[in-house]
Amino acid sequence: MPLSTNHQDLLTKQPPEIITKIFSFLDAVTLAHASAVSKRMNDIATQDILWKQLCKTRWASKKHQDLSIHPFVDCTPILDKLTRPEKLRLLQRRVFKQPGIELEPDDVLDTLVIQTTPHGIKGVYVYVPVRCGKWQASYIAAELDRFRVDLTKVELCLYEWEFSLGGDPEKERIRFWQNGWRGLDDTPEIVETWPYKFPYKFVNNKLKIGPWFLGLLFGWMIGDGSLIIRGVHVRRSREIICIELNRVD
Amino acid sequence: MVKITSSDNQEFTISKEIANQSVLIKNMLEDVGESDDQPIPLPNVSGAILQKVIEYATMHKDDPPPAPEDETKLKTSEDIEERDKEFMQLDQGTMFEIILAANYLDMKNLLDLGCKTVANMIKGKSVEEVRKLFNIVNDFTPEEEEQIRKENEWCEDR
Repeated sequence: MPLSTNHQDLLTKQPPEIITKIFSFLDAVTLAHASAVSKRMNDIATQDILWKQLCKTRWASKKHQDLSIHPFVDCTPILDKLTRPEKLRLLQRRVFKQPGIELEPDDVLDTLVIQTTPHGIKGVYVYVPVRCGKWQASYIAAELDRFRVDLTKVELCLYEWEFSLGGDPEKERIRFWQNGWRGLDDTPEIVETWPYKFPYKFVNNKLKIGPWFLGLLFGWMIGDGSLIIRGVHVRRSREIICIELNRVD
Repeated sequence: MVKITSSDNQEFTISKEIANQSVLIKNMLEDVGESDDQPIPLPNVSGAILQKVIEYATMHKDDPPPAPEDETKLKTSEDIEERDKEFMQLDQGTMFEIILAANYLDMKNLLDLGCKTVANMIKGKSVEEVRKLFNIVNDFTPEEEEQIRKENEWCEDR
């Protein structure tokens, strides 16, 4: 018998459900640190059940971030840990469309998940999990993506945006279409009354809108987008207003 | 009044409202009925720990029933009452025994208190400090350590 109980490792000798319960009160950073203490601590601190809960609370106020595996996780090493609905949702979030995809066999879905990993996109950091599970990887991917300032055209066209004047969001929503038109639908005609319809340009991840907007100070706020983007500053040049989409938490 | 006995055969007589804070005892009382005068054996809890558990239950006997949990709210360990903080100023051995007793007796508030107290001991410490505090041996291979270091790069300086 040791003289003092403090000389034995009492924490990691507890049953797993007790350590899990203790860890459920930790924030993500502390939990990540706990996973580096020892093998047993790592086994418990990397459990999906803990990280899914952290994702749920971290993303609760973010409309665009639903509780699903983050599209910027490289799922190649953890394919066997994803359920079928998770794979389908992941492909959806990576904007992969194919009719009848939900009928495809598992190995086809696996291949598609690997192929759609967004490698090589400017500003996108793809997170490759080594020891951690799918939810911890998703949490980390979302954190790494928080400060991205470059927006892809796919992302711009994917979501509905809220129109805002002087920081006051209007009820009206607006969309950008792949054919270069901005408006409630993608018909190519100019409408100069609300909800305005104009062509837009997307050059080097900067959104450019025609000269007809000169003199107007306005901004865009995210509606139901999948990115944490808000806050816009308008830069005027001679002919075009260039709107930079800045990410804010 | 309800009689309970510890693993080392110490007998305690407690009021029903205190006994009912343990879901385990509450269920047992409902099963055996009112009339039974036999003490309830609690073979997993020592007398010394049971004494502390009763002290906690007595302190909290007038608490309102807990509010339902909000799933999207971050679980925090920062909301411990002052009297509970004082109650938990114990050596690690006693603290973990109380946690195990609360788990066995099914006393949610005490279990949460114990787990939050340990969580608070982990918070704000470096990996090396946590190892030292709980006497945990680093059993990672250098390769595993490197993997985890890379995996945790995202939270450096946070």
